[in-house]
Amino acid sequence: MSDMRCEDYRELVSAFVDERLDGAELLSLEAHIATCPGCRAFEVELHRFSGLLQAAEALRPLRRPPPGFAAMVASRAAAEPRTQIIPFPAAPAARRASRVTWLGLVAAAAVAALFFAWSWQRLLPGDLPTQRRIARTAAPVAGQAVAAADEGSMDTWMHEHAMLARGSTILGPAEEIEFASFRAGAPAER
Amino acid sequence: MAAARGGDHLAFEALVLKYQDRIYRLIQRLVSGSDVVDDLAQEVFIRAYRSLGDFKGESSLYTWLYKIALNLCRNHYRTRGRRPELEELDEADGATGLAADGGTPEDEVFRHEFWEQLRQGLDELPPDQREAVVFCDLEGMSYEEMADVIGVPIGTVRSRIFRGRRGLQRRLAAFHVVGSGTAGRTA
Repeated sequence: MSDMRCEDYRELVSAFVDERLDGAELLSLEAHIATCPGCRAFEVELHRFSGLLQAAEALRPLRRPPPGFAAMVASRAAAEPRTQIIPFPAAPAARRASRVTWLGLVAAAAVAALFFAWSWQRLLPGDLPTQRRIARTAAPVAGQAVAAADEGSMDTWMHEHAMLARGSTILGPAEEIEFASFRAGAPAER
Repeated sequence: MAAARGGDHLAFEALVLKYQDRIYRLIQRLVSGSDVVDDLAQEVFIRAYRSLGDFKGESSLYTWLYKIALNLCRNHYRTRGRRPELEELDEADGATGLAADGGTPEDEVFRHEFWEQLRQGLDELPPDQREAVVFCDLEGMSYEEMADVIGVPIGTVRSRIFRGRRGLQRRLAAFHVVGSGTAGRTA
């Protein structure tokens, strides 16, 4: 620590005033203060300053909470949604119900996926390997189409395939014509 | 604590009662302006209530509340820029008067003057140094508690306390209240 400057030692003085200095740092500071009047004066000043701060602050006019503050805060808290303080994990009955719901959703998704693959293979033009290739590439697109079609921003033929992806086979007369046109190999003209 | 966490509002009210004085005091030391103290203090406890389920008991409840208070105060002085001037408080406003310690009128004038200069000095410190001085010298927190509340290593806490005290000493020295702390050589 011999290359330390007075500025560095004064940080040690600050920790020393808080009784947070020990070991090598304490020994080093003591050795420095013994030979440095400036740092010694700083230590005396800091002790005095610390005492003044506490004395002045003890007399500072600080406001106290108004009467009924705690009751008012508690009643405001009572109006908060309870969901945020429900203990985790959930109760066993709730967990069972949640598991049943989850399994039902997984089963429904599996059935929908099977139906979707079967529909593509039956409805798409071309030989079986071509149909499979188209089905593989079209599957993610169909998922996006569900959302987009709801906004009315997709072409009709994509909308129909989105409906198929959802398991719906109910098409209007005009939609049937367009869809038949698509099955024949090209989207209908608008 | 467990009852409050379970949604018992009476238990929560008791918790607020226990800590409200400390939170009020801390907020006033950090942000001055008494016009926002009520709102900030309320918000501390409401946020605490919302997060009671997250309190893991790794720190004491009061340091956890201090963390919430510190974050709110920081948000406050970020949005307000500089800290506002503190208006004078009177006895009817719930403040304890400067004359509480007795002494001569001259003593009271000196204390009042010093306190006013201290407040201005604190206001002028960078926020991280002001927080360090407030937590250490005014709140009497340990370095470990400060490191937990502020979220920095103990070495950083030590350094901020030193720089904050030094800055405050220099500012107060300009008013000829205490020495500047710059005497002697600075090799």
